[in-house]
Amino acid sequence: MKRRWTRPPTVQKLFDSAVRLSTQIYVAVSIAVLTIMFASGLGIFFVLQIGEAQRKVNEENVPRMVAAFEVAVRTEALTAVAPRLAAASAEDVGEISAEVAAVLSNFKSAIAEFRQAYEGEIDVTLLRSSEAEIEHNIGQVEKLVSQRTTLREQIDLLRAEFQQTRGKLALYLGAAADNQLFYLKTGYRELGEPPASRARYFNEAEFERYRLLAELSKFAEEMIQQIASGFAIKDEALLSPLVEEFEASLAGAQRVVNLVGAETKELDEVIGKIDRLASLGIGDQSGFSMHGARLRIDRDIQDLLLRNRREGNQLVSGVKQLVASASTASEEAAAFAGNVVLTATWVMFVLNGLSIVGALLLAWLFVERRLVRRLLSVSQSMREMALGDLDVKVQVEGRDEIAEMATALEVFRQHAREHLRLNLVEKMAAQLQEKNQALEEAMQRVREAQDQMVMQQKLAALGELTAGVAHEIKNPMNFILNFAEVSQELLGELLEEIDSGDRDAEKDRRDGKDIDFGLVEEIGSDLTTNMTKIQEHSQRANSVVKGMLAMGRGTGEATATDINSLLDESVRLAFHSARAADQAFMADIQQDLAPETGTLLVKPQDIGRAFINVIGNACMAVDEKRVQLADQRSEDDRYEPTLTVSSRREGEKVRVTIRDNGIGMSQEVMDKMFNPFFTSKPTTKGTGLGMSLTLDIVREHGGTIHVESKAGEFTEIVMELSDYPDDPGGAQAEEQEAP
Amino acid sequence: MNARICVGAWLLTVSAISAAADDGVYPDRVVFGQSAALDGPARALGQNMRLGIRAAFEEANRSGGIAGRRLELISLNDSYEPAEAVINTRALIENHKVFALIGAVGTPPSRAVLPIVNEHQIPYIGPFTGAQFLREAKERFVFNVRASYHQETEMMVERLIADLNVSRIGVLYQDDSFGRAGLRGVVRALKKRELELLASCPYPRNSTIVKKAVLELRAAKPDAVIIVGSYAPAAEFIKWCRHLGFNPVFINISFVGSVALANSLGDWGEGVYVAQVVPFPFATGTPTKVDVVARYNEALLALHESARAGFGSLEGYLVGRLAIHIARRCEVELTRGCFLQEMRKPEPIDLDGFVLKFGEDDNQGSDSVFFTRLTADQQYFPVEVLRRQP
Repeated sequence: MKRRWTRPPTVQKLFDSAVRLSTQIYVAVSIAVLTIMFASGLGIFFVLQIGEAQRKVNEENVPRMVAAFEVAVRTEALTAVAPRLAAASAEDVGEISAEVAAVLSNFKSAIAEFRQAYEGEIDVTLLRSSEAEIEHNIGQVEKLVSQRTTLREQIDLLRAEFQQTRGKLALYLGAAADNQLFYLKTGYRELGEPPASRARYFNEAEFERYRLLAELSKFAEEMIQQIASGFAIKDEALLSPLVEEFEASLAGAQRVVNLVGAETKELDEVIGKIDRLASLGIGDQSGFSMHGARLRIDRDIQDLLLRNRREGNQLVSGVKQLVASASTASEEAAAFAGNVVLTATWVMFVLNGLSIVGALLLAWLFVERRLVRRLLSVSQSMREMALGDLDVKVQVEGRDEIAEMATALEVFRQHAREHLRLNLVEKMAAQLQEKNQALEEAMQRVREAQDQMVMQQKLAALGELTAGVAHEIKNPMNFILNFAEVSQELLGELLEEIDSGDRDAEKDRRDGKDIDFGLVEEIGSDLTTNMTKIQEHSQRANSVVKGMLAMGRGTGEATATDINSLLDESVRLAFHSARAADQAFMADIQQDLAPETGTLLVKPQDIGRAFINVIGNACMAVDEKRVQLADQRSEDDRYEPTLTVSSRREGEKVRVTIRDNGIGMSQEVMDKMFNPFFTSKPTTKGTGLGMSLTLDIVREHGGTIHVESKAGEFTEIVMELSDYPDDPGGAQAEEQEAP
Repeated sequence: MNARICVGAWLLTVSAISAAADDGVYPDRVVFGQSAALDGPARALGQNMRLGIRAAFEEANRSGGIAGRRLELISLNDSYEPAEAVINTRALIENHKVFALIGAVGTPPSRAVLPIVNEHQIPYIGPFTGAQFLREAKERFVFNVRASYHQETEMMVERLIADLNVSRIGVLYQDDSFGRAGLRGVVRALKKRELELLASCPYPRNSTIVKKAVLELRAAKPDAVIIVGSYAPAAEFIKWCRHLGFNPVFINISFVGSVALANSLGDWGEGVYVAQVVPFPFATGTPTKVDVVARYNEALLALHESARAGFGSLEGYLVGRLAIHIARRCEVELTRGCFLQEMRKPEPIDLDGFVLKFGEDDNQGSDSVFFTRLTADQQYFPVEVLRRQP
């Protein structure tokens, strides 16, 4: 025999565990987790790559670009704010200076950051010089602006003064001229005063005066105009010619003033105002010079701003170049990152696809087919079991946890079934018990009833017997009576005879008749016969009574009993009983009793009862047939009801056969004939207990009954009897044999 | 219980209304604003307007004000300068939050201030000027009391021609929009009568440099000279004219500043006419048909014991009375909208005999021009008819 290769135990264990669900699930999850980890790892790897590229960009390129951008922006801001400073009004200048300072510091910090970002990589001296230049310029601008502010304030003051002076001068000069003209024309100077003489006023000097005043007005007007335009001049270059003009006008005015002289108060005022105008126009503190200075400042500021702008542009363009290079580097990094992203995307895509497919497969192959389906099957089984159906076997597939569960469920099912059965059995047993109990009780009742019935039967039998007995006794008694009557009559006759004879003796003569001694003998013989008959019949009656007594002497013990005589008695009783029941009853009872039959140890009452029953039934049967055939058969074919009672001795046993040619029994009836209460007789006629009792009695005696019958023909009942056994009823009841 | 409910309800209403009310309207008072010449050469004009308005306000306050509100007046000086007027008006509206502007003085200041009035849609009540541009129907927020310069000059020309049969007329005018407005009026009036102006001469604004004008106008020999200017140059002019023996009929436009003119002229003022746009303000003792003058005098005295009646302050009083009258109509719900609406109603407003009429297209209440004549002792008396000085 070839030895089959078996796996070593550890390997077998491994294989076994491989089938387990837990293992499979762990494996699946592990695979999933590993996949995730792998994907994550991949992702992380890609991300790191991108991160590295980004880092390069962020830490190197971007700061540079940002710094460069910042520098550009701040430079622009600075370049933009400087003109604002230049244009600031007195109230705003403080605010804007602060703003400029802030912008400047931002600018410087941007430069610093830029230098830091490009540490060592490029030559930053260019930046430095530009930065310094710009800063210096801004400082200058600020200084100049503040100077200009002061100047402006001063100029404003001067201007205000100028306006006032101008207004006043106009008034005064106007009034002076007006008055002079009036004076010239009318000679009046003051209202209250009388006019001057015409010569006084209407002369060359006064005309001259008027003209001078007019000229003074003109010069004053010129001066005013010049100062006004001086304040409005934008071009410093135009200032000096204006100043010259002013000087000319002033000179002219002064000349006129000198000529006019300060004769009137008004003129004093005028001159004062003109002086004031002069100071406004001439000298370092004059409006012109201030205005000139202011213009110069403006120009310087503009220069500085321009220079700043140029520097700024240079700076910015230099920075822009650097920015460009940085930005290309950034672009490269970005492109690289883009590539990585693309690759990563594809990889992720593929991974995802695989994962999805894998998951689907898993779901279908594993989860659905191996898990879910079986679980459902098990749960279905459980449901059926819950609903009470325990007969369907639980499907067990595989060798894993679910199989174990199924197996356990199967076991449970079987146990449950058993349990149920046991329960059922128990229940049934209990029921049975109850039924048994009931049955017992019923049986008891039946037994009681049976006993009663038996008693009744016995009583009935007794009744029958009594009837029979009565009949048996009645007969002899009749006879006895008859005979007694006859005897009485005979005696009477005798006596008469005697009497007649006797009387003759006594009397002398009666009838004269002699005693007929022949008659007396006849009568005497008749009497004797009668007496004998009476005696016979009395004995017969006696024996019947004795027999009956013997019958009624209780069921008691088995005694040796002569079967034949018992049979004979039974025949007689049965016959008479039948006769008593039906007067028309006729049957020919043939006794074929073998003398060897002898005795048996039996209970005579019982066996006798049995005999009576059987014979009684036979009688009934033939009578029934007789009645049935009474109409049918003709005289010739007359039915002769016949009973045959025979007995034979067969060793220990005695066979008693009772045959009749009565109506017989169908198979059905034969089957049931020994059933208690089964009878073919009408209810009034039979209890149905006869044969049953008979069977009991025979069985009790250890005997058997055989029945042969043909419906409508005959019935033969064979009883095999033996001595009353030590254990009664031990012999099994035999099945009836079919004829 | 009932009273408390009433008061409570009333307070609620008032506070609710005042919450919704315009600027300058408070539960206890309503505030008006005035920017006028309170200083400088034309200060008499501003001060008189202010006096008159305050007299009217205090008179109303003494009888409980308007729906329980006191009337208050905030006055700022603009020296008859337009720039100042602009600054003041803005301040009054935005800082002082006045309900309405009242009693401004002068044409140039008004012209400068008008855009602000329109911008804020604030009532501009009774400016002391007869300028035409303020009287155009499109000016929805200006309410003039006095007749216009055109009306005045028309009246002047009418009277001169009708009463004195004078057709040779000259004009002295201030060299600014005011003066030119008057000049235009005279020219128009003459043109209507198919006459021409004989001569005109300006003088510099805010000065008394009038001698040249004296000479020029004297040279033209008009029979009447209409003076469109303020009292100082007008007085100087008249004095020198007369001093030179040049003595036409002098008629001044109402803006001149009558009392100041009288004071400046002194003796020289005899027979000088001044056109007026308000009734004769002095309580002459003779019953006038205009009760408002009596009321005005009472109010003036109640305000200041030593206050003296005058045309300027009467005009101020009338302007104040108008404001009060219209505000009363609006009762508790005093809003600018209501005020403006009420002003436009055509029903005549009778201020104790002085009747004002406004309308949808009419923002000038009075069309009345009166004439007064000055005496040597600086007294005015009303005249119906001009006559030459004897």
